[in-house]
Amino acid sequence: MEDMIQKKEGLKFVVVGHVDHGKSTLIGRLLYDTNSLPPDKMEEVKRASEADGSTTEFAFVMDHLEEERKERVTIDTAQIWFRTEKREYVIIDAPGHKQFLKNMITGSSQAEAALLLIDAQEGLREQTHRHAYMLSLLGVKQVMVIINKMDLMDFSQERFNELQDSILKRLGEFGIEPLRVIPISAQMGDNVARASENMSWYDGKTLLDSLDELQAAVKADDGAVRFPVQDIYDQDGEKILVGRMASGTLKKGQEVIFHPCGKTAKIEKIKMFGKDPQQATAGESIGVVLEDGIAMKAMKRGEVACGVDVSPNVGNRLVAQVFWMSGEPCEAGEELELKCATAQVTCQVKKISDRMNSSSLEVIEGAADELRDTEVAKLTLQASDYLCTDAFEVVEETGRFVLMKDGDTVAGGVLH
Amino acid sequence: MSKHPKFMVYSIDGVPHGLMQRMFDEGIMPNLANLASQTGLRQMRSIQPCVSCVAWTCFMTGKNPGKHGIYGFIDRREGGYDLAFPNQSMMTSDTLFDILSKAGKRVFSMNVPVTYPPRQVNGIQIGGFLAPNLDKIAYPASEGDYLKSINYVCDNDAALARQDKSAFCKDLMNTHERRMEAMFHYLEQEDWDFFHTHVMGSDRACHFLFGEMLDGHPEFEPAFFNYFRAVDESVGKLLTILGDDVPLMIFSDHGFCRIIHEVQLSKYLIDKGWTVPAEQPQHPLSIDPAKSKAYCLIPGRIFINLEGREPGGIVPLSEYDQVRQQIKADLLDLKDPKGNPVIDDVVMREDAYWADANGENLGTISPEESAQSGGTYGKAADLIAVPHDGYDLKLGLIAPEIFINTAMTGMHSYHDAFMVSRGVELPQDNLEIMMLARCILNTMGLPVPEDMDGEGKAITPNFDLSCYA
Amino acid sequence: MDYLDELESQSIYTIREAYHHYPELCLLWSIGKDSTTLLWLVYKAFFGKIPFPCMHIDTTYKFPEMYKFRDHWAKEFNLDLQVYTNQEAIDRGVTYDTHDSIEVCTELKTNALKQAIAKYKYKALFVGIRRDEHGIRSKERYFSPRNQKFEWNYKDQPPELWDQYKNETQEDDHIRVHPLLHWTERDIWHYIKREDIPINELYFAKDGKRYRSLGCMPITNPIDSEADTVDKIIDELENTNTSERAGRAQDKEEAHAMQKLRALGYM
Repeated sequence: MEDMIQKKEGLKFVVVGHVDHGKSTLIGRLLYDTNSLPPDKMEEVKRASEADGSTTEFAFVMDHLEEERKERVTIDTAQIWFRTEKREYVIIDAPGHKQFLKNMITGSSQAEAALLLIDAQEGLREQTHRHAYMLSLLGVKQVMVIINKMDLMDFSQERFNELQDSILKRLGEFGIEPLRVIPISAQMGDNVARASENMSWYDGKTLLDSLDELQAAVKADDGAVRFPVQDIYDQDGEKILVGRMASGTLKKGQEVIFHPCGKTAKIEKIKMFGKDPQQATAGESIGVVLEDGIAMKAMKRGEVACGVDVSPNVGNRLVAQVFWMSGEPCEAGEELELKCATAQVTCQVKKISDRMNSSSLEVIEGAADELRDTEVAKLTLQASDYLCTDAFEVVEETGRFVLMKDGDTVAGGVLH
Repeated sequence: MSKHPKFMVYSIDGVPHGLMQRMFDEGIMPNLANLASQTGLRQMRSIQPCVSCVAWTCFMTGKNPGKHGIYGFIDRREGGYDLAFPNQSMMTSDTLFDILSKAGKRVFSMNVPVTYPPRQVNGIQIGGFLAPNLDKIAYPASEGDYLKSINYVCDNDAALARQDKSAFCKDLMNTHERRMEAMFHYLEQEDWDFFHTHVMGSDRACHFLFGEMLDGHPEFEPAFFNYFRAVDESVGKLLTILGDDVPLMIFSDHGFCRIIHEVQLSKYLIDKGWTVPAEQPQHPLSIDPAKSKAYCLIPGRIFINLEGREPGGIVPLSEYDQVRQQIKADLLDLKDPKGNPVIDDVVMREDAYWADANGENLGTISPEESAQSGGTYGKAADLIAVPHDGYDLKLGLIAPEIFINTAMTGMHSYHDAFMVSRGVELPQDNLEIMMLARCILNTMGLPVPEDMDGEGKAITPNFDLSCYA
Repeated sequence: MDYLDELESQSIYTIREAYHHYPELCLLWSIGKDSTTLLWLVYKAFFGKIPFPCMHIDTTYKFPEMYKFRDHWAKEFNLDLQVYTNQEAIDRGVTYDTHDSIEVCTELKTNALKQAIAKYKYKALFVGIRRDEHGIRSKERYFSPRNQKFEWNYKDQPPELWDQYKNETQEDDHIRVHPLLHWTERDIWHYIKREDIPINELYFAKDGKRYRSLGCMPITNPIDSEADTVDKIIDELENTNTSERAGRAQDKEEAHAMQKLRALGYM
């Protein structure tokens, strides 16, 4: 039984890249080659391809499926399921148009891995660069580069090498080292599920085999202890701090320091309904009861229980790399709501520097008055209150934040 | 000089020839009347079953439904008694737009029924009224962004007509304005080889306002004609752009007449014992297959629940034709409350669709052979009930009465579509919508595919021709 | 943590976020397996109690087994149960016998919910939908605003990332909160098994038939099945290829087509 559950574990990945570089075709091909299409659709696709005597138009599979959604196959929408022998996959949709960047970001923020798709004929284009950069900002660590439409380039090894060089160079600038660069033809099926005879010069794994090599995201339970307080429940005379472990392992009896209030306390009890846990690890939603009463008085949502060994940053001035995702630009001097883990403060935009085009990474202005949709800049923010944060590399949850306007997210930020 | 296409089609859904003549006479459509005064206004036949999706597919493919497989808005889904909704992806034939694209011509089409989902053409295809939204309506999909920017409306809201006819009239005008804005935008883009814009609001207007128009309703008669004035204004503007020489066709796909009664044909089949509904019907095909010898789809398409063909079929092949003949007799027997006959004729599938390009070969296939044929032919109804004008054949599996009247006051008529054309050679007699595709290809100097119908005499000779007498 | 723990933990986090930001909220309990699983998660999130009302929109067409189940478990869980029916529509004679099912659904489900929200002034609702359930649902966010007319602008939704949710609403709007969004039908059954969550008997096969989803009696059909235990249901799901809502719902595009064709009198 345990094995079966393990097998069901799904890996979520996102397919990104410039519009028309073959995302629909690739997804159609993956579904087809893994037998994930409903039987009648399978039949229809086969028939259609036999009828016109040519290869199957896999992008078209998507349109057909849209009409008749069957179990687990939702196309052109946010998520698509398919299975290999090894496990179940969820493909998260990430539209290739620039105007849909916020959807690409929403999708990618949930992904454990990303496929960056490049049209062999067209090469690297505007959204190729932008999406690659966004993956690095979002901290998506497992990236595979897929060079598609190799058939249109006569399966040329030279062309592949050329593109491989330029994308590796580009990704290197963002600190991303792709696990693999795979030449494929989604249309013909080369190197998707079966090794390509047309590209015998490629001796790496096929796309499907490479997918099976990806690791499901593992929460760091050996990292710095961070427990952001989400709420306080008063139950049967007991005050319970609830929240989800952001990182590390919290143990019964452990001493922690709450930031930003700075109070020390001992963990008396860790609570989960129906259990009596001795410890809690990253990702678990728990309740915590503190031993002494002093810290409790300062306690509120937004405080973070931290291990005494690795201290967070506590302050009211933040400098962060921020990507703007709203049609309404950010203006220097304006006030926004900042949410980092469970903390929420009002902050003022003090300075906008190094305003960049997120595709060309060209600095538009060194010091700017505004930041527009899809652009990235370094923002200096003055918060109304003290905040407990970390560098993104140390603890992801407390190393990133969103900015909100009228209750809607308008930007994401990463602290380094 | 402004850009203009090399061949223009402007179709106006469902306008009857007689009404067009009246609007010419009364000065409601002066621009089109002026053109027709030079070229003539002709009457044209539609197709059976007489609904827009079938008629337009016949137009686009130049083929009879046996070959293209579109017989109505609803089909039975293979493998059960559930509904399927035919669209372009289930159409097996190339359309004019595909044929022209393959010949390297630049084509544009907008709003032609059954062009959703849009196909990849050499140009632009904007789907018709069953497109779910503007994101998916067009090939290339990016055209959806432009359409959104001008608040393009794919189809006017027919549900509104059932609640508030005044609001419906406003909606008709708005839909037309938005569509015309798009049309003129695309006309300016390039010198298209073939440009087709379809107007659908005329069909909606006729469905919901035809009776009011005939009766001189104080609000809706003027509103009805105002809509057609707006259409004519667009035609005027279009004619100016086209000049005097561009080959041009302006026509409808069927006519309209006043509804006397909507006829709940499934209810009649139930009363006669041919159909037994499921215990809790959920949709028009919720029948009890174990007890039903036949069932019905709109309009007037009757299917035998045939053993070996239908998943729960109970009629053995040996009784196929016998059952059909009995049902035919029952149908011809149906009378309205005043005693008037409802069904004019009942045509068998093999007599309707097994014609070759010359309209011949009818009757060369046996009923049993036709019953067992697969593919597009196999989707044909076993019997097609052709009503007298005024009797709109509906389904009504759970209807309490056979004859009802609703907000709809107009229904399609088979024999009186209209045609105004310039610079295109059309057959002299018996003009039928299926014949147009080959005429267009001829005019454009392109070869006609071998399996295209529409040459020589009419393709559906078994239907009533008395209108031409 | 195994994968069910992860699913659970994410849902509990979402549940607690909603309760923090929108104290005027309720759980929409349809008595089906999904919303009962949600109920169980809420029960766990608040350490064995449910600090807000559970609402059942009663169309009056539910199965007798569902009413029995509702009343029994409402008592066991000590729920603040609110049952709401669009009595006005029923008095007007809206029934499955006389109206088509879409109209009945609009009146007895959608409009009933609208009335209930207006009556109790809820700002947020817990709804047990999942992304894998239905085409359009895969576009849903965890926190999804609806205006008074229940309109949802899914084409232009603000981004939702890093578990930071919308925590403000416009006057008259309300938020649908979807803690089960990332679960699949299989996940639900695996979790039901592990947690031993009470599930209506209608889901289990009797005389070769069982219900895969529960709705109004006249429009819900059982599927052929021999699965009379949770294990067998899981087994069945591993080997199935038909949609959960087969027999009662169409995909959105078909629904769109049906709506159009109905208005035009083709259905």
